[in-house]
Amino acid sequence: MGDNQIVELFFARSEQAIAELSVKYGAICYRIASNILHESADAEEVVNDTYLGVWNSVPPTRPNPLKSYVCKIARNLSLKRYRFNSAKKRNGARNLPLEELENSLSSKFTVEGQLEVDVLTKLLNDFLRGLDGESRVMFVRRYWYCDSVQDVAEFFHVSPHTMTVRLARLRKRLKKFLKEEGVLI
Amino acid sequence: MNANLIHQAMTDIDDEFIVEAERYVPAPQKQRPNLLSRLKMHPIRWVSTVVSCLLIICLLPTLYFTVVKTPNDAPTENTPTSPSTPSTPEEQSPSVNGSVLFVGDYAETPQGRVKYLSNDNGIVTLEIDRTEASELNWRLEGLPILDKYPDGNGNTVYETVGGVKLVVSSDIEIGGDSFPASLVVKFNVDGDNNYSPNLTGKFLLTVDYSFIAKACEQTDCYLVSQLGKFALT
Repeated sequence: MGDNQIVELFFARSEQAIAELSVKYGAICYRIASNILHESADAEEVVNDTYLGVWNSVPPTRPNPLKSYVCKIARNLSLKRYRFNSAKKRNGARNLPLEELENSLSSKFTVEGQLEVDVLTKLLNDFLRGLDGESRVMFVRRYWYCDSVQDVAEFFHVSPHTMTVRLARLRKRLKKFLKEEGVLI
Repeated sequence: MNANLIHQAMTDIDDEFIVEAERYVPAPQKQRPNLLSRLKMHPIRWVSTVVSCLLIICLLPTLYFTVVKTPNDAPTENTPTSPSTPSTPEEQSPSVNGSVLFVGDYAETPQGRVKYLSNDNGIVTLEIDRTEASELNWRLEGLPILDKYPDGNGNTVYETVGGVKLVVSSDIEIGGDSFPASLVVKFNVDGDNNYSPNLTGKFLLTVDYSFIAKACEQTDCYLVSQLGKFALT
């Protein structure tokens, strides 16, 4: 079923919309949640919460594309659950992609407390646009989908070591970019 | 908070990047050229090259020993006095310098005095006085007698491996037991002390140095290696 039809089902408040959404985007939602949480029960719960989130937000929102909309909700919910688990120490598993980014960029903002998410998002978009296609996909797969280095390496037919090096270079480039933009010290 | 900010900003990146990452099809894996193609040589040519190299490596030593340096020329540890290139009879038998220096076991055993008589093209003639030599230990280990025939001069030729020939006067038979002399010569053939012929009178020992390298493959074959050909008369 096409995205528009699914959205129309949501607008019609048909429960069939959830079923179709699950068929079409359930797997990717689970993958994102699982990559971040490393816990299948939590991941399944996040996926169900994602469906609920879409149900509650559509309408009035008419997402286009539906896929990224759903994935973002899944990622947001997963991050929320990740923070909750980390704060309560309920989940000892560390999320390496998230930590990699944190360690590269955190605690160095020049306008700490003032920098808004929108600004940083815009900068990230600019940074990603400046990358070549392969590097961009690499970065997004690792730090948005939180795929493991092994998976990203297999996807690009390179060794994990090569992928680790390339990701480190990308983080370095991002850091340099943010410095040039005056966001980082 | 910074971490949350980063992750939230990351979550909110443009949809196009998220979709692109899902739809992206990476370039097919580049086939790294193997060694042969990198060296731009056809595999068959490579095989022939390798085979040629192996052949050369295997044949070189053979050619060296057959053409350049014959085995007779090869020096041995057990023949420190033997020449490396026997060009003259004197050079072929430098150890034969008078009395008992010839063939180690002779000199070391008290069987008698060995006297150097002559060296004719490598055929060294020695004389052993039976009155003083009571016993001779002939060591022919690894040199079995393969053939036996008369040489037309009243002698019997015993052929052993490695081209070694024992030329013995007709009234003496190696392996026989009808030697009426008091002097005992033990021929240790095939490792067995089966031969103990008694000899009478004087006898001459003729040695051909040309088999030194061929026969000498054991530590105790020094004597054997020197006994290419000898005659007992």
